[in-house]
Order: sequence, then C-alpha cells, then structure tokens
Amino acid sequence: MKKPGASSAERRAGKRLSGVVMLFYASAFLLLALRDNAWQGYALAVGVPAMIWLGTNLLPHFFPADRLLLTLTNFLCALGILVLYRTQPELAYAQVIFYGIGIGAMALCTWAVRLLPFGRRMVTLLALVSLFLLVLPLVAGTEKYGAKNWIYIGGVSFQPSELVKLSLLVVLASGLAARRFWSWLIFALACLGLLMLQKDLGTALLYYAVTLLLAYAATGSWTLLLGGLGGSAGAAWLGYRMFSHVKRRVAVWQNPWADYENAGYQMVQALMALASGGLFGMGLGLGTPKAIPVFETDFIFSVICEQFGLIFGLCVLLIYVALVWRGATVAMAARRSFHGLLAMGATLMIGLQTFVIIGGVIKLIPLTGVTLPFISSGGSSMISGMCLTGLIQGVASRNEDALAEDADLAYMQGEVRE
Amino acid sequence: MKKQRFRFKILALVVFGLFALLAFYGGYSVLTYGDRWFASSHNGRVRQQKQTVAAGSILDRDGTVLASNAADGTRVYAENPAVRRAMVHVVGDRDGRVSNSVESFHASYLYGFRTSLWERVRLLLSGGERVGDTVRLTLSADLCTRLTSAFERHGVRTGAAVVMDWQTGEILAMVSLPSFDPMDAEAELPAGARYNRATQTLLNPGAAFAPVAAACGPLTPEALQAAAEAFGYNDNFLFSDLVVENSVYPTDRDAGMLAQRAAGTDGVRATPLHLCMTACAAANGGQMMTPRLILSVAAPDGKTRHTPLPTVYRTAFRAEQMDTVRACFTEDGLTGIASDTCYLGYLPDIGRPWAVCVAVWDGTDARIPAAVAEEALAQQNINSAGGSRNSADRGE
Repeated sequence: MKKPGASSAERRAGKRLSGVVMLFYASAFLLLALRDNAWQGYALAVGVPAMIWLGTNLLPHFFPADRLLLTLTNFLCALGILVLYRTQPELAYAQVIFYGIGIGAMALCTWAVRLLPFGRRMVTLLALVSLFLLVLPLVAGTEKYGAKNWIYIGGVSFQPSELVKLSLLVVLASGLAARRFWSWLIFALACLGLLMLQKDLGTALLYYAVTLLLAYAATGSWTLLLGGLGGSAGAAWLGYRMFSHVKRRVAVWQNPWADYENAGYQMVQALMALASGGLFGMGLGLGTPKAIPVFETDFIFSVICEQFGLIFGLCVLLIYVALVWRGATVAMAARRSFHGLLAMGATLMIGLQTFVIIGGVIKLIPLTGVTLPFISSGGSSMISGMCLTGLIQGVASRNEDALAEDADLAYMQGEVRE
Repeated sequence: MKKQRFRFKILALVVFGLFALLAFYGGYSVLTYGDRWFASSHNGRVRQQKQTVAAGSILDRDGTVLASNAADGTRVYAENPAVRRAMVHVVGDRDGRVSNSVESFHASYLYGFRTSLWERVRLLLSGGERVGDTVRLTLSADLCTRLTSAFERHGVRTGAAVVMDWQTGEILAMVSLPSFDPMDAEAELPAGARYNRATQTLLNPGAAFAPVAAACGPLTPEALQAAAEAFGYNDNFLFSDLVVENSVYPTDRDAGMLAQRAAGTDGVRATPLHLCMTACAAANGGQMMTPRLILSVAAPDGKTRHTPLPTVYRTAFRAEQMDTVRACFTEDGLTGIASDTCYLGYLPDIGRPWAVCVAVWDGTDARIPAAVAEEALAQQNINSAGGSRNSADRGE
C-alpha cells in the first residue's frame, strides 16, 4: 500500500472529489427545499457544502492531513444530515450543530496525537476518568431500549461509552506498545464488565472485538486470538441465557415475521424498506421511511437504501471500505508502535461498528443497538466518530512529519558529503 | 514493527472480508426475498402509492379482464360473478382479504414501482396520470370457472385444483374453495375462504406420493428422503411469480415409519400445486418446470416490460426411471392417481400437455376428485400460445 502523501496531484484530485461531493449535497438539499418550499432546506443546500469544504480544507492548513480520509468522513456526515432532513428536519438541524462540534473535536484529537506525549501518568488518569464515566449511567443513568447507558446533565444527554471508546484505544495502544500486559487488560475487562452491567451489549461486543484484535496485532499471539474468540462464543451463549432482550433479539433475527406486531415490527419494516428501495431507490423524498422505528439511529441504513436504492447502499459500504483502507495505510506507515496501534484501533472501531449495525439491519446477524458511524443521529455518536477520525489524522500527520524529517536529514547528509 | 505492520494488513483484510459478506448477503437477500418483503400486506408504501397511481389491469391468458380500475378510481373485478368467485384467490380483492394474491404480490407492477426514472420524468413533464402496468396471467378464466362449477356440482365445499402445462410450467388454472365474490365487500366470508388452498394448505398426498416412492429405487429411509427432496420436498420455494407453502418430508429417517411415508402419510405433506408439479415431472421425463403465473407484463404505453421464460426448477428423477414413475399413473385418458383426498394426473398428449391435481377436504366419495378433473378438462383445449377455446367453439 502507498504511504499517505500529499502530492500536488493528490491534492488536486482531493479537491475535485470534495467538489463533486459538495455538488451532490447542494442538489439533494435543493430538491428537498423545492419540494417543501422551506427556507431551512435552501440554507442547508448552501450550509452543508460549505461545512464539507471547511471540514476538508481547514485542517490541512494547520497540520499535514489525509485529504481523502477527510472527504470520505465529511461525505458520510453530510449523508446523515440529508437523510435526517428528509425524515425529521429538527434532528437534521441538531445534527448540523453536532457535525460542527465534531469537526472541532476531530481537530482537537489530531492536535492531541501530534503534541501530547501520552505518558504513563496521563494514560492512567484517562483510564480512571473513563471508568468513572462508565459508572455514571449505572448510578444516575436512564434506560433506553433495554440498556442503561445514557446520562442527562443539565438538559444534555450523552452516552459515556461513546467517549470512552477513545480512551480505550489510547490505553490499549499505550499498554500494548509498552508491553505492560496487566494495565490494558484490567482496564478493558473493567470497561466490559461495566458495559455488561449497563446491558449495552452492542458496545460491549465492539470493545471486546477491538481489544482482542489489537492485542493480536501487538503480540502476534494466535493463542490469545483463538482463546478470545472461544471466550466470546461462551460470552454470547451466556448473554443469551442471562438477558431476556438478547433472547428476544435472536428470535427476531431468526424470523421477524413470526412476531410482526411486537418484537419483529422494526425488523420487518426495515426489510420492507430495503425491498421497496430495490436497486435504484424510491427517490429522495418518496417512500415512508418514518414507518421504521428508530429510523434515525440504528436503522438509518434502511432509510438510505429505501431512498437511494441498494446500489447506493453498497456504495456507502465502499466508502467505509475506503475509510478502513486509508486508516490501515496510516497505521502501517506509523513509525512508533503506539501510533500504529492507535490508528489501527480507531480504524477497527469504525469498521467493526459499521459491520455490526449494517449486518443487524440486513438480518445477517442479530441486531445490536449501535449507531452507524458519522451517519446516525446523535451528538455522542457523531463526536466520537469524528474523534476516531481525528486520532487517525493525528497519526497520519505525524507520519508526514516523520517523512519530512527524513527528507531533511537526507538533504543534510547530501550536503555534508558534498 | 515490520511484523506488526503485517498483522495490520491481516486485520484490514478481515474487515474487508466482513464488508464483502455484508455486500453479498445484502444483495442476495434483497434480490431473492425482496419481492416477498415488498409484497407484504404490512408494507405501507403500497397503500401510499395507491393514492397517486391508478392500478394496472389484470388479464387472463385470453385477455379477459379480471381486475381493472373504474372511472371513479375504484377497483373492479371481472364482469361475470362466476369468474370472480373462481379467480379471487389468485387475483385478490381490493380489501386485501386474500394474502399473496396477484393484487398484493405483484403490486410492484400494478402500482408502477417498476416504472423507470425516464418514464416518471416524462409523465411529470406531460402532466399525465400515473398508471401501473398491465399484468397478463397464464390462467384461463374459462378453465377456472369450469373447475369451480365441477366442484359445486359434486357438492364439494372445501377443495382446490391446479392445472399446469407440464412443458412450460404455466399454471393454466388454480381454484380454491370455499370462495367469495370480491365485489361483495359486505358479505360474511365462509371459514377458510381467505386462503388459497392450492398454494397454502398442506395435505398428506397419500397415493399421490407414489411417483416419488417409485423414483427412489430400493426402499430405505435415506433413499426415500433423497427422492422426496429431489422432487422438491423440504425445499424453500422461492418462485418469482407466486408464494407456495413449503412441502415437508420428515428428516428423522425413522425406519419404522418407512412404509407409511412411502404411502404419503405420517408427516409427508404437500400443497396441491406441488403435487401438480410432481405430475408435471412425471409427464416431462423428470424435468420439473418452475411454476409460472405471469404470462407478460405491459407498460401503460403497451410496450412489453417483462416476459418470463420457462425454466427448469429441478430434475426430479433420471430418464431411465421414467417408465417406473409413469407406471404409477393409470391409463384412462387422464392418467391419474386417486387417493382419499386428491387426484393427480396428466395428459400424455403433446398437443395438450396438461397436468392436474384436484384435492378435496370434505368429500366422502373418493371418486370425486377424479370426476372433477375429468369433467373440467374433457371438453377443454388450451392454446399454449395464449388463446383459449373449447372444442364446441371450434365446431369439433
């Protein structure tokens, strides 16, 4: 794979790509605005492409950044806003704000990876704060769809587990790179235990999978990987036995039509939305996407397929594939093990989360309540997704710095020889 | 670091593999099951589309109108009440009382979901009314009405019959009793009138299972199960034109029950349509054709949108077994197998390549199914190219 570079040809291609993306969204919002004759639609037709331009071009002014990664991320974020505007405009307006905050959070994470040392004390502090955050929902949280994983502070609700994803990656990368076996293991197990107590099994599954795969990447131990996979099979069985809502979800996965009126309702509606979209979609603004319960978060992929069709849905999948490819490229180009693991961890988190939710929506695997990165409605999900991209950007940026240093060194050595 | 980079590559490939699985499964499930999901009576999108699109007509193979839209936009069915009653289980009704009928299962055609983007844009610009496609069925309204009349003459209140072309798989007739008039929304329906028994009700085939037993060779639990599965038992029927309940053959390979199972009892269950397909396979040298209900679909401008072609569903037995299998059928015009509940037969005549299954659930006389089949088919001649005339009309 090619190292992420920023040659002028690549910059030009990146600008052309973001231009196409901006045009797509301008026309899509314009279409909806003309249909509803609402000024908000016109504002979004201008505002969203402007945010895409800002999100793609602002960061590279301050740090060397991976433009393709930025363009892909911004495309997905804007797609979420578009679909939400089509279904429930109020959610789209909130999502625009979260998107703006997300761009800031991404810049902050990029800056943190570039400049912060992530020493032992800092990582320990991060771990303790994260555990505190995960305990909060158990003490003062509210239950949603069977899981107690939300907290409300001052009228603002958020999901701590979304933010703890970032510190999990930092702790794992730090512990694994420094070969401190117990530190990362204890933290990961504590997180998993707390998530199980919250009954947030989808997020627990993600944490577990990322921990296992990163541990394999760092140690190369097949015993650990296979043992972990065996353990996860046992945990899945245990979860099935222990939690009634897991049993219900498995039953719905096997045959949602059997209990259409109750537990199978949302799955059946999602499948009908997929089928109604067919290959080319019913058309933006047509169909009845709001018939699908939780269409704005878990089932937003069904809405995309209903509106734009299966082929477009597969293209969205391809964008995630490109994102994973880019993230893996950045991880492989990293000079330090810590940075490589951090970028790979963030990439795996995005990739696996996407697989888990789309797999659930198309009935490939039982549905677990996680969001579709960058697209689903919600501040916690958007900001955490953008932060994950920020971590990858930070590593990409350090890689660029290292390449520049190498070039300087080679130049200087050449001068000395002359 | 070098080893770590290699492992990163492996992990990236694993994630790519998972995404490939998503793409494959998503595409496969939508293309395979999409029509069924879409046609569900729970799909509100069809109801929504009905507000803006005038439904297309449904015709029988001769062009007889079975369903169309009246000037005021209401859905009306065939003029002849006897035709309406004979065909309601296939055609459907405006209130959606019959599930998986053409009205619901082929709503994507009837309500313009298959209309291309270009056609939609053209209509938008011209300001014309959106009209769905016209669906022409393989069924003959005349033959369906004859079958229903024959049932009623013999006092059958609960029964079903299917006639198929064993060369092409076209369903020429499919009726189910009890029935009702789709134009009479107020009438109280008899129990079970909503079901199309020809495709939805499983029965013990009894003697109609004999072709399967004959094809199995030496009778062992494994051989009989394999023969049954070769005929389509335990298969998930995913025919593109219609929904058919899956036929069942017990998989426990219980040697103690072998004789009962070979006789088509003890958990062996099939729909009349599947039994008719068995007769088709016997007539067609082992080739079981995919059942077809749609002859063609025409766009509102008259252009043909879709013309399904005959396809082989499966090969039920080898050519050298043909004589053994055909020996199960008696030689009396319509060669047939009578059991307590159903009659299975076919016409060996290439000019009239028909197979028939008649099932009766409330009959006391085992000869009734065969009599119904004989009476309904004796004077009938169906032009396989699409026309239908009886022998009297042709002056024979």
